[in-house]
Amino acid sequence: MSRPPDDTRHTLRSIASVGLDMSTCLPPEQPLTDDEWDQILTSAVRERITGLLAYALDAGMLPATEPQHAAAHRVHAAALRTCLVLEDQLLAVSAALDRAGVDVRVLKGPAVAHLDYDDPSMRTFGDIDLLVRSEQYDDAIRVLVSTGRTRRYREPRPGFDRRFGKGVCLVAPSGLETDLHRTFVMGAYGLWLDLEAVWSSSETFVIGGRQLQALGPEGRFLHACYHTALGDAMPRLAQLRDVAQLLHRPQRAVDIRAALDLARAWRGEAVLARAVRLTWDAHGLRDHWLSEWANGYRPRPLEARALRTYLDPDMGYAARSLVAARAVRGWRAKAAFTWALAFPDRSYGAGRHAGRWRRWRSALGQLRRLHRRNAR
Amino acid sequence: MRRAGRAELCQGTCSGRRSEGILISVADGTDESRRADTSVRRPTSHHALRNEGDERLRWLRDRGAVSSSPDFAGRQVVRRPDLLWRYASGAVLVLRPGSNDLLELDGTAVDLWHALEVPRTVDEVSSTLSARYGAHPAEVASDVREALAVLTERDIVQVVE
Repeated sequence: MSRPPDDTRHTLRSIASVGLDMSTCLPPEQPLTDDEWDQILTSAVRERITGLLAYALDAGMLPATEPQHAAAHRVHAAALRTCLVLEDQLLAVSAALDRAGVDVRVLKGPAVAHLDYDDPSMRTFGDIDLLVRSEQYDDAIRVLVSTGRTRRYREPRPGFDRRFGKGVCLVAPSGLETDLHRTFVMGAYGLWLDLEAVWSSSETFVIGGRQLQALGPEGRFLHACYHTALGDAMPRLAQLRDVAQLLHRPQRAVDIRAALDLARAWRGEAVLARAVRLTWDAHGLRDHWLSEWANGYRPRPLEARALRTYLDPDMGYAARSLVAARAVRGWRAKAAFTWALAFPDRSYGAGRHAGRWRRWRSALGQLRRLHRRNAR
Repeated sequence: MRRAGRAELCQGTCSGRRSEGILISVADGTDESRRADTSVRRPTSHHALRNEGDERLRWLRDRGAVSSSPDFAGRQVVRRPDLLWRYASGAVLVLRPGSNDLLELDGTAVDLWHALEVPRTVDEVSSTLSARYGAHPAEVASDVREALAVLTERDIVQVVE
């Protein structure tokens, strides 16, 4: 993803920060040129902050000419149309899973839009993410496949995803995607999570007259942090805003100390610290004890090694899996995990590698680089 | 918010003439339908029918917008509780679950949308809107009935039995 010029980036950050009392990131005082505005619109769509852009314009916080205002509302309306279509899909999928007795927690976009923002129009999204229990994972996939959806990628060996995987992407005939998650992220940080604790609290919200369950506030906050810190090398502004928004919401506020305790129990302090640092930096937030903790946090060697496998552009699935093997509990499980990845079914990796030998070479290259970086 | 004008109901991308009365516009929400709908705009000759609500409903029926005239007399109407919707800077986007029927309510139709959050009769809705826009209740009632006819046909609004 190419980074926009500094001025545009600053304006985008100020748009992503509208309504955050703690933010020092101020929007420009004069309307931008039409060329600059076009860049802002393109980036706002990519960063999924068209809702915050529309909010800033409607509230008079961002100066713009009439045509610029109209163009912004057009792109926002298009993003909202996508959200409605996705929510329609969410209702269909959750109803099918409900009929099959599969418990579901709605993650990310629709959940935070309805629970954590003043108006769900402020938070747009581009796909549907659901969390299901490990023991119901295979059932959940069967249900969605029976509705005509297909797996984007196969699992290395039968049962691998249910035991060790992060999740699977299922594509509907319409092309809309549903991500079915078992844990927050792939690799060590996903395996260190205590899933019983993740499932232990929930919050209800309503879409189209139907009640749906999201994670509790601390679970949503931590999931937003994991997604922000480990998801993309450069997280979207919407993800960063989610972290800030969850801390900012006046009612049913996130219990930060409880979230920190959970992160500690999940060996996720380095993840939380990175997400907080990125969020404070992106939104220019004023100092808070949490940001001071994050700035002072020094990851332990194993945490640092695990973090490197997510953030280093030279690392990938193989490097992440090597560190993840240490997070798998029990020797038999470790052996099953390693065997499945080293010798997966022949159909695994189709479309991603030219062949088994290429896959091995790519993996060995990653492991060599990981070893060199760890030695440094 | 569009200023008070003559009540009119639009199917498709109605540009909304600004005459006397209020404008209740209902537009298909998709970009594709927005482009396509220019062909289903009411023709210029509809001006002759402006004050004849029955004729206008017939015009809409002829074009498949309304299949029958629901009888709202003394009955309450309310928006369906299972709709998916969002505010979009002064407009409301509405999607009926399980359909591709995306509507955009604009201008005074947004006030109509608010009014239909709880069951109300046409008279109650009309008096709310006429008070807001300073228009004559009888004129507003005629336009509200037309808008409700379209919204009922599109299964956005239901008559409370």
